[in-house]
Amino acid sequence: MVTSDYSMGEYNVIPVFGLLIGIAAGLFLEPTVPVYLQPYLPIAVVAALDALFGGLRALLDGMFDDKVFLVSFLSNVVVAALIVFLGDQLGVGTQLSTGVVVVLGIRIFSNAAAIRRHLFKA
Amino acid sequence: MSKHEEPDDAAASPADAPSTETAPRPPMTAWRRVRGAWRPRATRAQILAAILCAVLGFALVVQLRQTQQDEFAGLRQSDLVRILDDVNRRSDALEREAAALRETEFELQSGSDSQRAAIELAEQNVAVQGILSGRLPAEGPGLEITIVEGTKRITAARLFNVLEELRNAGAEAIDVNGIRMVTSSYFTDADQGVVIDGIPVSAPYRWSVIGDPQTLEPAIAIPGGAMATITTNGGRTTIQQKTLVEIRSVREPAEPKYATPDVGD
Repeated sequence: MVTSDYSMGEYNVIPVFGLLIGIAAGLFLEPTVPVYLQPYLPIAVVAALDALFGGLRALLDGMFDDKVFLVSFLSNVVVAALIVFLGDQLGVGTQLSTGVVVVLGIRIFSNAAAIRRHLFKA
Repeated sequence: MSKHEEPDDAAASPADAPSTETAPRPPMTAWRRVRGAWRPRATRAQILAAILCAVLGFALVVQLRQTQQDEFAGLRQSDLVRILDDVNRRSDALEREAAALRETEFELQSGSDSQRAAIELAEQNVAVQGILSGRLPAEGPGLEITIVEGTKRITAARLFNVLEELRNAGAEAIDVNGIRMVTSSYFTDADQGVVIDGIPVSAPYRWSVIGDPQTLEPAIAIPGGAMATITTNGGRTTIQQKTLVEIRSVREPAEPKYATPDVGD
């Protein structure tokens, strides 16, 4: 598949730069998390990581789509935060956020396994 | 050329796969300008992914910093309340302990204070009792009385009357010819003069009395009193008020044989 090889080479560079720029911005700006965001940011980060790994897997599968990536990224973050918010309102915030982290962790693991199979054929 | 043209995959992204994936996207004019420099399909997806990755990296670092900065920042309200409760309980316990220790300290301090006060009082008592019982020499304002015999003998009873009247007038320490008067002092008649507490004494009798001179003199010189009786029987008396009378004689009080202190109330 020519397109797959070609796109892998091109697609990986700029997002990696984006990631580095984001990290650098976080390091240099030293922002403080607003209080109302503090319970949701960790979950949102894990959800975004899940989306990232999903996108990476799709890339290796040769079926990456930027729109899908965008939507899945945003919806993952929003849904995860929503679940935690709902759990906080219901008084089971701790348990529910643990559940969300477990589910996202399992997905990250399965995605990582798919990526590993693509890269190492193992 | 692009993955976008592969419409047959519903589970494109494991994260999420909306059904609109297969539909061709409407061209965006804003992106078209960016595409001028780069390959059209790659640029948009790349920049989109880059932006999302930047957001992720930013959030990741922020969260990491937050977690490292403050150990309580990541905790939720119920956990914080529990920790606060623990801290409050602990500080309460410590405060109670501190109060108990302060009380103990106060008790010890007041204990040593009251002990010191008791010792001071005991020392004061020793001085007072020592003077009153004749165990200690004394000095102070008082009277010097001299009784000289006339033709008639002065009996022990008359001298004892003098002693009694002095005591009644509030004399605190009395000495007769070098003999300290105490509660058990006695006078008996003898061939030559009198015997006071087993010691023979003869006239003239010199009394040293410590007490209020203004009270003692009128009391002793009262008409019909002890002094008057002595003068009517031929004796001669002189009474002198003094600002300083010294009594050097002492008497060691005997241990009571039968009486014991009553400590009960």
